Amino acid sequence: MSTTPPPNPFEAFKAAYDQAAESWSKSMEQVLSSEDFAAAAGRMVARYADAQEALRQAAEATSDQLHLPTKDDLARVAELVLNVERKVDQTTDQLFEFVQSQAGAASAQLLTQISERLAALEAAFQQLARTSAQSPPPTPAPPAPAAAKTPPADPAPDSRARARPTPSRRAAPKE
Amino acid sequence: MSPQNAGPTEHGVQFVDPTQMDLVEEGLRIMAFGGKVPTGTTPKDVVYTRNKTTLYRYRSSNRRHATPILFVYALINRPYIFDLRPESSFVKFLIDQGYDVFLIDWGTPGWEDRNMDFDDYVGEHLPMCVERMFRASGAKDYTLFGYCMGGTMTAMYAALHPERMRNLVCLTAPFDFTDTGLYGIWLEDRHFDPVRLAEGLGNIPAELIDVGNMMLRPVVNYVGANVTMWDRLLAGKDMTSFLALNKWVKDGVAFPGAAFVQWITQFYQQNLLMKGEVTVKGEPVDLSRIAVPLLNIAGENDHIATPSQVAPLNEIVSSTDKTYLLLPGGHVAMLVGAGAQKGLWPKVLAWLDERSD
Repeated sequence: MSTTPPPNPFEAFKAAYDQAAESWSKSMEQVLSSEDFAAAAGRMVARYADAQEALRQAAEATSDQLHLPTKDDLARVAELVLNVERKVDQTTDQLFEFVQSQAGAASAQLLTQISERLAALEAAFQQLARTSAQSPPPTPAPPAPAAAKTPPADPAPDSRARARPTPSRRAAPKE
Repeated sequence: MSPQNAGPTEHGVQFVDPTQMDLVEEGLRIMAFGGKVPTGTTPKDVVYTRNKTTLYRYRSSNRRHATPILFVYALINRPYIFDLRPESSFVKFLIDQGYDVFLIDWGTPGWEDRNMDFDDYVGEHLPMCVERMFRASGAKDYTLFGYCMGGTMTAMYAALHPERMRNLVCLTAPFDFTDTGLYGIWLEDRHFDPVRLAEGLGNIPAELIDVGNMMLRPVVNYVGANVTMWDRLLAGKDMTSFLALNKWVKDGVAFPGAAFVQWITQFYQQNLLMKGEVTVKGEPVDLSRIAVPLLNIAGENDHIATPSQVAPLNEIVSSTDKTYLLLPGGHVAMLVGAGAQKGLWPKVLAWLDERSD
């Protein structure tokens, strides 16, 4: 008995396919590109469409007799929902445009206010500068009380900057 | 199959190694139900919804570009083809490169949507999504990126609403329907009546659209794909990419009836787009009004949007900065195939980098 296994059917089929695919394709293309095929396919599709329409009409008539909603009825409800959706979209768009325009107007108003306040501040500084230039130099300030000069016994390094109150405040008696 | 387990059966034929029966079962399950692997896993936010349409945002964690990209896919099939698997996600690639990415998912139409056409999608939903993208991103301009029918739709939109559009990228999108190959023969008005089909079915089922696409190359699509699947499965190769693509192919979306009628009659049967006679909300779509920088890409082996359908856009637009790229690959493989990461992706990125803030 031979130990050689018989050929694998799939391998054999694959080999046959690889060898014949091109010629099969050409043969099929000849058939598919013929007027006869196109006419037959067209007739078949038309019959299929007619059969489907007849089936649908029969189903609708049956549903009507049984007082059940038909596909058309459900579609009409869906169309109503779609109309609502369209209106929601339109409202959303209008709201978006309104918000955009309001945001734009608000931003412009805010900018105007900031500009005006900046201009007022600038004028005040200029006025202050002019006043300072015209007034005599200030007299030296009187020496602060001795207690006020004494630093805290052991100030925390990180609190030194913020815990540096004015002398008068530090000297204020506690109530 | 391991030789030690090989041997003739009592009928003298070896079907399959008994230890591989689980693989056979898996293969049959794939053939029957399609691939079941997670897809579209890149994190995203919902920015806006309208009817079945959803606008998603993929945020870049290292955003380097102020110009966001808005992806638009076809009305049929799912847009997660842009984010198929982490290793083959064009979206992930772009957000990793610092782009803010938005994506429109048209969703699955219901019976109530059977009268929706391009007036609704291009004239209403797309502008709303663009507006919401601007609100969400705060950007001053954007790149519009359309794929397949989505590319046709984006070009129509670009002709009507060029405002704030920085760039237009169209990937395997048909514009000229003079020569549409087998589709042209099958969809001739003397053979095929789209109105009758839409009246009968309302929305055109995804399965019917899929049969039409598969029949363009029946041997490769019906036989070759299964041969590839069994070959990979029995050889123990990684099936993830195959299964993800298989899942996407079978995960189609119905074509809204009115849009289908418009697509077949005005585009395939009458080629009105190139004549400037397609209208959206009553306004003629004149593609020559497109003046933004344009990148138009076709696939050498694309049977769905052939290069002869894609290329003419560059001849009709007014853009002075326009590029036409003909790349190896088919309609889908070009975007998610093994060669995409060295082919399409870096080419698109380089083009965008030069034209985005």
